[in-house]
Amino acid sequence: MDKIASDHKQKKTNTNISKKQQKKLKSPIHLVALVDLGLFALLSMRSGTFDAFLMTLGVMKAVLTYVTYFMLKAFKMGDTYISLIVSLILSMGLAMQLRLSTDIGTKQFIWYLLGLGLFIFVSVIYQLLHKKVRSIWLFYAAMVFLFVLTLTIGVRINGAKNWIIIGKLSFQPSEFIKILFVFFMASFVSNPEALKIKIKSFQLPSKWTLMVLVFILLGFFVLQREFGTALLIFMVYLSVVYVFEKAILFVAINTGLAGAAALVAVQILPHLQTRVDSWLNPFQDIAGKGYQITQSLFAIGSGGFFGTGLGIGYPQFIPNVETDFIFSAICEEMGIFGGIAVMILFMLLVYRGIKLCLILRDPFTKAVAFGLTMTLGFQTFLIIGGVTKFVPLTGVTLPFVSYGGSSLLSSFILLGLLQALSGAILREEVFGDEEINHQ
Amino acid sequence: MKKSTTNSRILHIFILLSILFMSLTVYLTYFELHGKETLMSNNYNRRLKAYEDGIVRGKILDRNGEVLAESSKTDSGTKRIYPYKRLYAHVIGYSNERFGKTLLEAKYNDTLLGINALGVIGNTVSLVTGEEKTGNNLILTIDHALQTRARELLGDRRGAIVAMNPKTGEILAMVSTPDYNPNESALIENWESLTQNENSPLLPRAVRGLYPPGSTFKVVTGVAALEEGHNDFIVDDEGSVVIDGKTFTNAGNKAYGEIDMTAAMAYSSNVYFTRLTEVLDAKALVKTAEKAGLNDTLSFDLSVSKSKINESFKNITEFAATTIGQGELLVTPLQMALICSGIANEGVIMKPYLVKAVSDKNDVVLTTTTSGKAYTFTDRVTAERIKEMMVEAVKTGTGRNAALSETVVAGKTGTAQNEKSSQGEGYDHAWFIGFAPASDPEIAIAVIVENQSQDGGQIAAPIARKLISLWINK
Repeated sequence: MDKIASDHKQKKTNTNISKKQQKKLKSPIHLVALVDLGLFALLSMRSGTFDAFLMTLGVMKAVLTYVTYFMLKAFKMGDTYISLIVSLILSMGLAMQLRLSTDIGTKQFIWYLLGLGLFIFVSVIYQLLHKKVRSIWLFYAAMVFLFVLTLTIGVRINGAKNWIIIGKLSFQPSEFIKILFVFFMASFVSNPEALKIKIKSFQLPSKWTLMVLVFILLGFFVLQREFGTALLIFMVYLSVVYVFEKAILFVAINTGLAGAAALVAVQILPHLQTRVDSWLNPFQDIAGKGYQITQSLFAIGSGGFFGTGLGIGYPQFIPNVETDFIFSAICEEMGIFGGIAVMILFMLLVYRGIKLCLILRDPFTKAVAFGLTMTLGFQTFLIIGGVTKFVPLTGVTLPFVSYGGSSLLSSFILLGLLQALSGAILREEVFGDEEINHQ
Repeated sequence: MKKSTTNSRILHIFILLSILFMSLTVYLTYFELHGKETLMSNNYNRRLKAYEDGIVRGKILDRNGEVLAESSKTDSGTKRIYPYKRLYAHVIGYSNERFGKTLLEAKYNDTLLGINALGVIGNTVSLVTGEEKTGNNLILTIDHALQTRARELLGDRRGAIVAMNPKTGEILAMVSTPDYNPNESALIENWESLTQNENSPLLPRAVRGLYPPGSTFKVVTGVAALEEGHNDFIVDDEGSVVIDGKTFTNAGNKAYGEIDMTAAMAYSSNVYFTRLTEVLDAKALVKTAEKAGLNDTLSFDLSVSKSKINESFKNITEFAATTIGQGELLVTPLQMALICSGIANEGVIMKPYLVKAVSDKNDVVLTTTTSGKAYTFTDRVTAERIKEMMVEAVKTGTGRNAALSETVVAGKTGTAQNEKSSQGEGYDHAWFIGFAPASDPEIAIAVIVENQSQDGGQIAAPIARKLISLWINK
């Protein structure tokens, strides 16, 4: 049945778009590969001698971009653009990591290879699972489990107790909690009844239950001192509620409550106070609290509009440049035009995600696509705004760019889910409709 | 009202996110254009030092290519070397990590490091080719031989000499004493005594020292009087005169009898010039002085103190004192060299400059300074008249010690009372300004030697003569 459906659809599109038009709409895959090769050629020659190892990585990256692209096309796995956009973002990230340190960059490249595999795996597997796994309590339990695990066996790195170390491997559960949270919200959207709690004759409306559950999660994040991810999931929560619950007053109440809680938290938590102080006036304590953010500003400032050039700046002066501050390094050596290019790529990615949300009909898949897109969009905004002192700095990573296995893998999982939604799942929905229309 | 659908609310959120990203873009653009201005020079910006560490600072050369400052690589970065030690301390200044940068080293820091637009390209090339990054060189207008001689002539005395080409504004020599050895090791050794010495050895007197000009200012008074049409003003000089209750006397109480302005300029008659107040408008004198650059901040390669004349005088006494360069008038040696150049150059004062050109590490000239007009001091005819008077002063008057057999020198001496000397605690300052050859001037010079027991004609004029002779016969 599936085969007939897709054939049917294929015929339809073939008649709609003439061959001439098809030629015009030729994919920009070659351009993406060209950027890969150019960027890595620049990278491998920046020290004056040719570094064959770096160029090999570049060629590998270009080949993998082609392979992924043609595989997605051949097996009709959905939107071919999102992986192309991400491929460009990845090139910027990998090139910058390799420029900062060949050692760290190579590790990141290995994570990229694993991530790409995970991306394909998730985009295939999720088609089979998406209808089966929709239990809101399952997702909530998974999140709470990860929280409790982190709090009991977690390790504190850079102020936040958010790492789990098993043997040689270390990972950040919060990177995966944010994806689980999207599913949690989607389950609520598709079946709010599950949260209706009856206590004797009094019935608590489901969205108030949801609110309590979300604030408990936020509490966990505060315990771990992970204010960035807390803010991120709260923004995702508000947007999902706004879009799917049509509840503006509810959104306002939540914002007010969270704002009040944040004000209290700033007063009583010195860790949070430091962040606000170093945002409002980093120069007051430039040697201490304000050091990171001011170093980031020096980097962005010295890059100007066009950057110093790859390998010519001093991004290594910024502490944690390869994780939180990678955007500042890009701005220093590629200019704010390079930085703005990265932002545009993320905006394009968000645009593809939003486009997908608009087409999807099933509330669950629609909410998943929306939640994932929002996670990507807000996370990017929070970290770029943070390192440029536009908003207070919260320690979230820049997806696909920041160094770190957890961050990269969770970004690839997110991408795989979007891919699956844009492929078989979307086709299923469209076909379902057509079937109804035919009857 | 149409009820909003889920899809339209999705678009609301998309628009919100777009606005957030667009404001980030606007913010970043604003940051690069204005926001970072005050930020980048912060001490915590380690890039500033890193740039310097990676770059071999450019050389500083005299007009003939003599190396006056250069950098060499050491184990811990680079080291600035001044081969002539104190000779250029008050022109080039110093550059090192410990004490920072002064004078030309500070003013031309970016050029010397090559971090201007031209340099960045050069550095990228050197990065690819693996060559050392090297900054650009400064080629000065200074003549090393003249500078050396000027320094010798001042010797242990405090003072300053400024020699320049009156037609172009090029500074040929600029010496201030006392001076110091600008090499880092010497600075470390002497820093305490340098900063505490009451003779201020760190002060570049030529541009920052403010002195009463004494009789050299009669050149300006002369210009003002001629411009006002007092060509035929004649005074019966009895050696002293009482003006508004204050007595003004000639040096040594000499009486010159009936004299015109030429004779008064030649013998430096205080009686004649103070009595000009009878006919001259005070405002005209101030205006003429301001046309020569007083009360104006001159833009120069080094920061210059503003030479000052009061806008209006409290009484006739102050006016009279000002005509002979006393009173509350204060000038820099550079200012006097400019006034002298103005007379030499048909009334036009050229913009003084120290850096003739900038060249890259392969000695390819990148930019050349073009001369320009700084002030229109007076007209050609008046300048010519004053020049004749100054020629007379050197031929027969107080400036005879500046006379040369091979060329005609024009000049004016000055012996300036100062705070100390007027209270009997020290001697007057000895001044001389002059230029040569009078018919086609090649060099204009101002010399001041502080607190000398002998007058300007005896102390300062011979110094000028020796330097003019060296320059003319080179």
